[in-house]
Amino acid sequence: MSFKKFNNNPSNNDISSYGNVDENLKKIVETISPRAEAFVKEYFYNMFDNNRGELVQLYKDDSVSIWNGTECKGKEHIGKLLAEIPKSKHIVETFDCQPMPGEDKENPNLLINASGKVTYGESSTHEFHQTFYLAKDPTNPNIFFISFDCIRLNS
Amino acid sequence: MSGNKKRGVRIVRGGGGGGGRPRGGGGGARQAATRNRFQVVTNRNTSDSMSDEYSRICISGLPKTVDRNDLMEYLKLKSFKPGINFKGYEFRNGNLFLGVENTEDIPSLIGLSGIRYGGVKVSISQEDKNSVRQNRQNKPTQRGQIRTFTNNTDKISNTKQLKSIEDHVNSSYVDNANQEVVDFSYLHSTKDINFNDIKTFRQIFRVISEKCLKANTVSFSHNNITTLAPFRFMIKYSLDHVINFNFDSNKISDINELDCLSDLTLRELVFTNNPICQIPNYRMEVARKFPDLKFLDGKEIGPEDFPPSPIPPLRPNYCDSPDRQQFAYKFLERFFKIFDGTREDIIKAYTDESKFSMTYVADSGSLPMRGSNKVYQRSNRNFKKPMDAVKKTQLLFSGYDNIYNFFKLYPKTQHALSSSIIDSFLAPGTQLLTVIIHGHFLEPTFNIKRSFDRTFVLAPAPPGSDAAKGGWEAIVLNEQLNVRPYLRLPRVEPVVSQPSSAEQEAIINEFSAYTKLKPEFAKECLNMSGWDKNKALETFSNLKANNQIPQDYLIQ
Repeated sequence: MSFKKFNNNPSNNDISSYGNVDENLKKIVETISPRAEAFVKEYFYNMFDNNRGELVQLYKDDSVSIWNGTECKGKEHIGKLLAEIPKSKHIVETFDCQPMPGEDKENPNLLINASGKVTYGESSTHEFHQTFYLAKDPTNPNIFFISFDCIRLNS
Repeated sequence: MSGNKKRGVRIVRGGGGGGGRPRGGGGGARQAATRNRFQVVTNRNTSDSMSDEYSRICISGLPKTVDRNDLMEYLKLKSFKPGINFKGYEFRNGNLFLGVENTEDIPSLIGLSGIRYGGVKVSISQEDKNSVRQNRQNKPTQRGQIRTFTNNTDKISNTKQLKSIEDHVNSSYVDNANQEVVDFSYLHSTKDINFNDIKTFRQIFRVISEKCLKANTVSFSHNNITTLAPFRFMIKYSLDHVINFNFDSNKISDINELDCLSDLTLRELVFTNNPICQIPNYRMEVARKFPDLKFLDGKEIGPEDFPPSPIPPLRPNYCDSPDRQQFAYKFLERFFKIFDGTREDIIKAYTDESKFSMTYVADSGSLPMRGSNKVYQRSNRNFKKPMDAVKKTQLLFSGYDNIYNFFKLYPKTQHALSSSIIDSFLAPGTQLLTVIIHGHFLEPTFNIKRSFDRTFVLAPAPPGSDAAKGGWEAIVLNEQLNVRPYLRLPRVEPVVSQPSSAEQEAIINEFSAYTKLKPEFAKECLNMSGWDKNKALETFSNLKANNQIPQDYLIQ
């Protein structure tokens, strides 16, 4: 017990603190969590920093990307915005994913919120917060695209 | 005392956040106090019976049963002085007398008078001085005499100084909307007040918070000020209405002193005739520290005061339709009013399918399992941490009951909506309104400011639903909250598309008719808001709510 205390992993200690687990909800969480993790850790910020030219492929023509109050609608405009932003390095510190309401409850669309630090160019470092809505591709329910994203620099 | 271990921890914490003690001034008294503190350590085993060596505070109006230790901890927390050492106690006539080791701590304890404890208001005063002095004179030891001497001078000059500050304010200030300035200029030389002493500012803040409710500007010019450290404590005096500070002709030479102002809401600062004005890039440095500052040294802060940025400009609140934006603002206003209150009525804004979760970024100096940090830490659904599916499910609060139960655990808050950034738009191809707000809130219990990002996915409340009956126009489908250490939001630049003068006139007339502002002030308000009518209306509503619009600005 005392070892656990120093294990820096509080999740083991208070597991029963918020009541019973809803098995249906757990199933949904198990479906969407790996998607959110892959999106945040492998796709979006990785591509943004290292392979930005390809990033626009995650959007569709009615997608919207809102960059600090400026709206860019459609692949073309989003591509232009992405080209305008200098080279970046993101460090994600938090992210979280919720299922969105919709017809297909077992395979829902995703609401993702991420925050952390970003450096543009050589030394312009800011805190950021970004919200994503990932929607299923109408032709393939296992492929998701960015329906919208909205970023704000918080410093 | 049983709380010694605890106390040690708190001192470290207090020292970390306190940002240093004021320099110079009051050195003699402070040294004596420090020395006494060490002497007392060797003397720790004295009983809890009242020792008449110490000045005492009298706490009255207490509930019938009081846990003295809990009360003392509470007072330390509330006064932001974890190091206060209480020495002995006595219950007499329903009042609790507590000895205070260090007389310097007494004014801040008295400053807490009127605070609520155990559901009732308690008053705190200093015990009658004469009886204390009499007791002391009977004390034969040399140590007692020295202490009596230093403490009495200290205390007398303290009371005298407070009186002279009160007299000054009474004679120079009338609390009405036309007098916005409280002027403490030259008091260093005319009244011999030391403005590098935290005590002085505690008294000043207290007097302003009691007597100058309508003031928005305070002048401290010509007072020999070298440090701004006392302003770190200003936040606990509820002086949010004071937004302009004049430090003209003082001796502030270190730009880092300005960090002591970082918790305050600021509109204008004046540092003319201070050594800091000479440092290279002075204006840029100050503008960078205070993104919401509008004027520095009487000159508006403009693009030239900022280093060139490599990124596209940051714009104010985004919306895809003004109607939806109004809908979103209205929702947020109601939501946070209830959230900052008892929270009971919030439950109707959620359905049995609603989802809520939060993430949390701890302050590097905060202790994770203390106070409100504990609630945030335990509910932190951060996928960056290793977390199994059970935990992820438990921390996804689903349905109004679970969400409301969590809000009951959530610390009490005061949100500052007027200084936030709000983006609102429909998710493409849906009827779901997304509202994302970035801002800060205060936890009044601990006087901690935190920043937050909160995303809402809203749908119109179905007619006849519980939500609609409860006065909610929208229901919350999804809500995600990110809580992080307080940070000022960056400066945003409105899109500069100045309307033509004919268009301007039409807008002024419309705005003036709606708000009853005289045209010249309507124009000023619109100008400040980049000719965005919604923004101007928001500014106007905020000023009006705070009674900051003088009668003569209005069409009579």
